[in-house]
Amino acid sequence: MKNFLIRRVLMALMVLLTISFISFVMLKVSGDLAISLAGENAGADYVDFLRKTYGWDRPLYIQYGDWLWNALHGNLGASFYYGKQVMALVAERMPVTLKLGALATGLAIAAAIPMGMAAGIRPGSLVDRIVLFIALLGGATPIFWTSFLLILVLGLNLRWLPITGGTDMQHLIMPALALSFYSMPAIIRIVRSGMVDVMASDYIRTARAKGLRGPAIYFRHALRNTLVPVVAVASVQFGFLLGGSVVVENIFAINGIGYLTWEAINQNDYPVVQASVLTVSAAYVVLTLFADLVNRAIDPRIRLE
Amino acid sequence: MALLEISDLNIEVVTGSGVLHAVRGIDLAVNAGETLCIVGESGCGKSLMALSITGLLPPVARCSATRLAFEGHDIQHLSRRELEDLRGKGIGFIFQDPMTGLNPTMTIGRQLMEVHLRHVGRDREAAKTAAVSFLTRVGIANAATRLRQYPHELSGGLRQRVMIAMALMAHPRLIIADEPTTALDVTIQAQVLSLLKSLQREHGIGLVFITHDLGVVAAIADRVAVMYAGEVVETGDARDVLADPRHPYTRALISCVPSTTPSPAGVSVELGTIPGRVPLLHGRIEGCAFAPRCALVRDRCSTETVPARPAGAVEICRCLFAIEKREFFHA
Ligand SMILES: Nc1ncnc2c1ncn2[C@@H]1O[C@H](COP(=O)(O)OP(=O)(O)OP(=O)(O)O)[C@@H](O)[C@H]1O
Ligand code: SF4
Ligand SMILES: [Mg+2]
Repeated sequence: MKNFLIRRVLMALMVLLTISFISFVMLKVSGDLAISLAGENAGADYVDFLRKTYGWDRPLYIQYGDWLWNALHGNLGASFYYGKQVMALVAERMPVTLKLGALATGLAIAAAIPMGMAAGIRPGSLVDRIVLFIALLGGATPIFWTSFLLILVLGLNLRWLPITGGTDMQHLIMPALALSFYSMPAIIRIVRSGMVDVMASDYIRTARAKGLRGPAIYFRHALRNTLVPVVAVASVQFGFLLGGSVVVENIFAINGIGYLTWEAINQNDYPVVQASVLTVSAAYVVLTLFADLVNRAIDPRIRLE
Repeated sequence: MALLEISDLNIEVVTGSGVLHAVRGIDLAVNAGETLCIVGESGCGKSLMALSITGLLPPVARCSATRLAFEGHDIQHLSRRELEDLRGKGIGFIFQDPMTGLNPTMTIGRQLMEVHLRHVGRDREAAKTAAVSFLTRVGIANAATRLRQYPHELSGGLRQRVMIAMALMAHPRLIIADEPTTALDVTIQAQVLSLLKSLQREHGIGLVFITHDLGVVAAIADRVAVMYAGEVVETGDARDVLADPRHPYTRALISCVPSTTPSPAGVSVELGTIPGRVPLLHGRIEGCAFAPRCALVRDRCSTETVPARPAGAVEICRCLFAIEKREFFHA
C-alpha cells in the first residue's frame, strides 16, 4: 500500500512535469507573445523591450528552466491582464469549478447506475431500449443546447432556479444538470455492459441457486462487480468536466477555472493559461489516484497488485 | 414416493443456427438418501438437465416435462417466489468451477451467512455460528478466520469446500452436484468425494452427482444413469450397470477405461474416446442416436424407434438388442 502510494505520487509528478513542458512549448510556438502583448500598433522597440523584460529573448530551455524553478518555489508568475498573482487567481476560481464538476459527476452517476442496471439486467427489453435511447440522446445533444433548454424551462418558464450570477448551490444546479446529461451516457453504457456480463457469470448463478431474490442478487451480488470500470470512467469524466466546462461556465456566467482559461487564452495571458492547464492536470492526476483507491476498496483482488 | 421424479423432460436451446434439442425425453428418479450418478460425454445435456430442476436454465434454454416433481409437488406449477424458496432450502446446488462460482467481491462469510439469513433465520449471530460450523464440518480449519477472507485468498480445494458448505447451509433434502471435483487435483478430489458421501449419509440427503469419471461412479453411486445425446440410454443399480452394462454405449465407455473392476475412490478414470461423432441435435433423430458409432449397429437401428425397457439386471436400457445378451459376446 505504502509502495503503491509512493509509486503513484512519483508517477503523478512525472506526468505534471511532462504536461508543464508540453504546454509551455505549445504556448511559445503558438505565436510571438511580445507582439500580441504589445498590441497591433506598437513600435518594434516596444516589442523588443517587452521581450527583454520577460526574458523571451533567451533560449526556450532556459525560459522553461526559469519557469520551473519559480514554479517549484510556488511562484507561477503574475497575470498580464489582472496583474494579480496567478496562484491567487487559480485558488479563487478553482473551488466553484470543482463544486460544479463534483455535483455534475454525482448527478450523472446517480442517474446512470439505476438506468444502466435496469437495462443490463434485461438486455433487449423495452427498458433497455429506452435507456439506450436516453444515452444516445445525452451523447448527441451539445451542452449549450441542453443549457438553453434548461434555462428556458427551469429558469424562465417555471422560475424554479436562478439563471446566472452566483456560485451557491442554487446557481450551480442548472449548469450541473447540463454537464451531467452530457457525461451520463458513458457511465450508463459501462454499467449496462458490466451488468450484462456479471448477470451471465457463474457466481450470479450460484446466488440464484441459493434462493436469493432479485434485489439481493442485483444490488448485493451484481452491482459491486460492475463498479470498477464505472469509477474509472466517472473520474475521467470528472477530470474532463474540470477542463471542459468552459461552455457551461460561459453560458451561466460562472467564474470558474474554465472561464478563466478561456479569457486568458483570448488575452494571451499565458502565465494564467499555463497555471490553469497545470491545475486541471493536477486535479486529474489526483482524481485518478482517488479512483484507484476507491477501486481497491471495491474489489479485494485489486489490493494484491 | 421418490424425492425427485422427472418424466419426459425436454430441453431446447435456441442458438444462432437453430433450435437445439439438447435433452430429449429424460425419465429419472432419486430417493432420499440415495446417490444417483449421471455420466456421459461432454455436451450430452447433463448440466442443462440439472439446471432445469430448479429453473436455473440460461435464458436461451426452455424446458418442458410431463412431471418434474420434488417431494411430490410439481416444480413447474410453482410461482417464482415459491421456486426461490425451494432453491437452497429444498435443493442445494454445487457447481463445477469453484474459481468462478463464488462472488469475488464478497467475503466467504457473507456468502455463507446469506443462505442462513435467507432460509433459516434473521439472526446474524446464529448465521455466523452456522457458517463456522458448516465450514468446520467440511474440513476447513480455523473457520472463523476464513469467514473474513475473499475467494481469491483460498485454494481451489478450499473454495470447493466452501461451495459444499454453502449448499448445505439451509439443510436441503436434495443436493445436485455438477462435476464438483473436476477442477480439483486428485488427492483433494478424493477428500471432497468422501466428505460429500459422509455428509450425505449423515443427513439422509438425496444426491444427484454429475461426472465424467467412472472411478467416481464406482466409488459413490447407488444408481447410475448414462446419458447420450440428450437421452438416458441406461439406468440401474450402479453395481449392475458397471458390472454388466447392457447398452453398447455404456460398454464402450467402460471398455475405454483401463480396468473394468471398479477403481478405488478418487482415482480418476476419465471416459475415453469412442470413435465417431455425436449426432447433431438440431433435428429429429430417426432411430437410435448412437447408431452412427455403435459397433453392433444393424439395419433396424436407424429406422425403428428404440423403446426404453428393462434388460437383465439393468432397470432401463435404450437399445433394440439389449435383451439378447449373447449378441454382445458374439459381436
Ligand atoms: N447457454 C447455452 N447456449 C447455447 N448452447 C448451450 C448453452 N448451454 C448448453 N448448450 C448446448 O447444449 C448442449 C448440452 O449442454 P450441457 O452443458 O448440458 O452439456 P454437459 O453434458 O453438461 O457437458 P459437459 O460435460 O461438457 O459439462 C451442448 O451441446 C451445449 O453446446
Ligand atoms: S439400438 Fe442398435 S445402434 Fe442403438 S445401441 Fe442398440 S445396437 Fe447400437
Ligand atoms: Mg456440464
